[in-house]
Amino acid sequence: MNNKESISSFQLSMLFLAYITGSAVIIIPSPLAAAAGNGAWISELLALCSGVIVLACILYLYRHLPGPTYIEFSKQLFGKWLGWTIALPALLLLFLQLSNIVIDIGDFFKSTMMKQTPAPIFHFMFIILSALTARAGIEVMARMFVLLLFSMFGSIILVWIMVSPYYHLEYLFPIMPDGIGPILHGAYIANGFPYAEIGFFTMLLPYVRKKDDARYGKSLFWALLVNGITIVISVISAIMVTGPLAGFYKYTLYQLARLITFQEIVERVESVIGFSLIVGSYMKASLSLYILNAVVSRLFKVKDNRFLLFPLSIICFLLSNTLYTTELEFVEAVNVIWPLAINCLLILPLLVMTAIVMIKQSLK
Amino acid sequence: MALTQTEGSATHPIATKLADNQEQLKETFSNCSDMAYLPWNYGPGLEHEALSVYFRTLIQNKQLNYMKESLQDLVMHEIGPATAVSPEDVIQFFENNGVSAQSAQVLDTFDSAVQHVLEGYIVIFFDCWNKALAYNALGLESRQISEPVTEPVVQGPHNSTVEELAKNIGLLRTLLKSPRFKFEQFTAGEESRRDIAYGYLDGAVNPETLAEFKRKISAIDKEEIMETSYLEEWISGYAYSPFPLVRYTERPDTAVAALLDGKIIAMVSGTPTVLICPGLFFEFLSSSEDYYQKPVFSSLVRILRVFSFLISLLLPSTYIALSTFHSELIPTVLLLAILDSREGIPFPAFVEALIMEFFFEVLREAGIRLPRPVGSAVSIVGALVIGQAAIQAKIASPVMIIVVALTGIASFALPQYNMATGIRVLRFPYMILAASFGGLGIMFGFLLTLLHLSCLRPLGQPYLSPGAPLDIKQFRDIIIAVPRKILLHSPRNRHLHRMTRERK
Repeated sequence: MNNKESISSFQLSMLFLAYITGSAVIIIPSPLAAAAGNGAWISELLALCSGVIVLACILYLYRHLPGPTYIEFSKQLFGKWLGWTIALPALLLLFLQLSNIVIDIGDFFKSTMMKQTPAPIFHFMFIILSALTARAGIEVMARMFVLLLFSMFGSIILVWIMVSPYYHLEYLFPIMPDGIGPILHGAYIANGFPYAEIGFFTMLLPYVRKKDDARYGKSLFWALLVNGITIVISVISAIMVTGPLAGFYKYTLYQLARLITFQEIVERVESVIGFSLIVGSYMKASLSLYILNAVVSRLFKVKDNRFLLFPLSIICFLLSNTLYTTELEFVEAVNVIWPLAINCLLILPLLVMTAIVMIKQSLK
Repeated sequence: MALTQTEGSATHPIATKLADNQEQLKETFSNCSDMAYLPWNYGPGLEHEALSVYFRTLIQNKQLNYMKESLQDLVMHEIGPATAVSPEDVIQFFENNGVSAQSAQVLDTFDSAVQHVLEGYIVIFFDCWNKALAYNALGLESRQISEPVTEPVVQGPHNSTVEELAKNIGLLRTLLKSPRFKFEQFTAGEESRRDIAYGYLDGAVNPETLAEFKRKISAIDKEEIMETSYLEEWISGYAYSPFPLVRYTERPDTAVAALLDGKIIAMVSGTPTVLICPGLFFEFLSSSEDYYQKPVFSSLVRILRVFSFLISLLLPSTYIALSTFHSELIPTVLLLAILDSREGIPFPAFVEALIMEFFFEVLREAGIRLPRPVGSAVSIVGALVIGQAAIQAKIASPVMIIVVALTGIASFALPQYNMATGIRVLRFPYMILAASFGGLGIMFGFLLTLLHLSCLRPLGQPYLSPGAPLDIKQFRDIIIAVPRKILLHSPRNRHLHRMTRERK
């Protein structure tokens, strides 16, 4: 790995914010509301707690075990072969994750603005864009994404404010119409995406400058908090505007943006908002591709860490075109299978490893 | 004027016999019709020979005889009557005492003698002496310091740099009276031998940037440099980027402000352009005049410039995207007006925009290249007659004319010409993207552009700084011009040498 590149802890937390907020803020409120109804924001808070745990785990592991990757953690703890067996499925998850993000982007455009364009075109454009971005390296991403995050959060806040005339406080109640069950279901969905994916973020920790080492843990938690607040407010405003229909509309923030009118001149600006929101998905796709590339490069001990980038992008492009035949299949894969898969294959080993290290540390 | 002394590499010594030297000179300068050889004699009975060599064209006749005068000076001081001077006296005097005349030097090698002749010196060879004397007699007229034609300001100094390097350095030194203001010079090119000078304010300049600059500029000593902009390719290192990575100015005050900001400036003799590097993206949106006016007003102007940057880059493509893909975004009344005006136009919006932009660029190019009296005729015929006729003939819609004209005007509002040219290049890919994918295409192009901008690191500094990596305190000064006094972090207010932080 090219260790010459380095970023500050602020930049790392911004990348982290892009990684967890990126596609989540536009996609997750809808399935959350569909599953948990009015209590969606409680589900989100629960999922956020799970994210805190995952983040704490990877920071703890990174501090106590040398080597940046999840795979190296497991190799050190379980020995070479058992470590591989445990870590390899997580690698496959990375492919899936990137493909899913790209499919999401294609789906977004196909179902909202450009209904007649075939989805592979969107997949191709965004895979190429992400590959070029990942190729430029983490420093460039860190510089660029800070600007994009500002525009993204700017438009999110704009939507919150501009749709405020449509807020109905009474839609928030009752908070838990059907008891705790649906809320846990919502938490399950939001836990799988985006919070369990934090587990992959370890790959980027070694890039932080040495002198910033002490601070990044704190700033990562701040980023997580900002992410949680953003999604909670988005969910709440969706519920306040659309009430029981909140789970019915996909891409909640985009749908909210359709309501914006201002003096009959600014109306139907949803596509403008949509573009700045989908930038989040692009950022997440770039980071995922970068992480995937870094993991695979280490796996095959490739010296030139850009060598594998385009082959991997092609694989993910093909995956994104062939993985799912219908949209329903995709929704099920993301909302039902993905949380289960990532929790079993990534989070469970991670927790076990953390426990082992903790026990080892306490025995010392 | 500093000259590269080729001493040390004494490949070609000066012959002791004058006749040999003369022969060699005639061989070197064969077919140079403006070369003058002036043999003369001195000493008792005028029996000792000497030879003055110079270019008539470089020395305006008035100074022809002052080497004789200086020789007479020597005679008066040292040994009395001129008729008694012997070659031994001459040699002894010049070897021991050096040269008393202010603009003369002793040359050791034939090559440096040739070089001095080429630079407008009068070189005197003496018989029986293997050295030569050179008197600076360059009498070429140079342009007077005048108003900067390309960068006029309302307020502030109205002088501009000229074609003469020494004058320019002098102009800068009068504005920046600091011993920390360093100027280094060297000569580039085998044939043209142009003097290149680069200056920086020691302590303000980032040492890493300076080292990088020196490393890059040391590679060009063999290149023929015709203009300061030749240096850009060597210094910036991104030859294919449409964005400018160095700034140019003709204003000494702008150059000095840049020096205070820690920039490096470079100049080439024979051209008035001053190169300022590294050029960062946001600096291209500001002008030296911003600091001469009230901050409130300058802030407004800067925000205007940001908008005119976006307009000149994106307006045609946005129009294409809106009218072909996102017509719902246009307010209904306006949409009806556009539709009405487009009625009967045979081309789709993209083709129409492409044609109009193309001819606008042609007009612009024609306006620049033509002689001035004809130039205005072109703009009248082009802009007024053709524009009006195109609308009446239903070839172009009035809205499209407005879009193209606004784009052009917005690009003129950018204070730096080379940024405007970069945008001109990028506008066409954006239009193609907008025509194929609408808003998505524009977003795609915009992200690609942003990625490219983030990748650029002229002389090791991130091109988008202080926007990315974000530095709020510095960034304040980019979009709005904050009052200098309370803006502690402005470069101009910065006390010397702020610690250079690690690269981001």
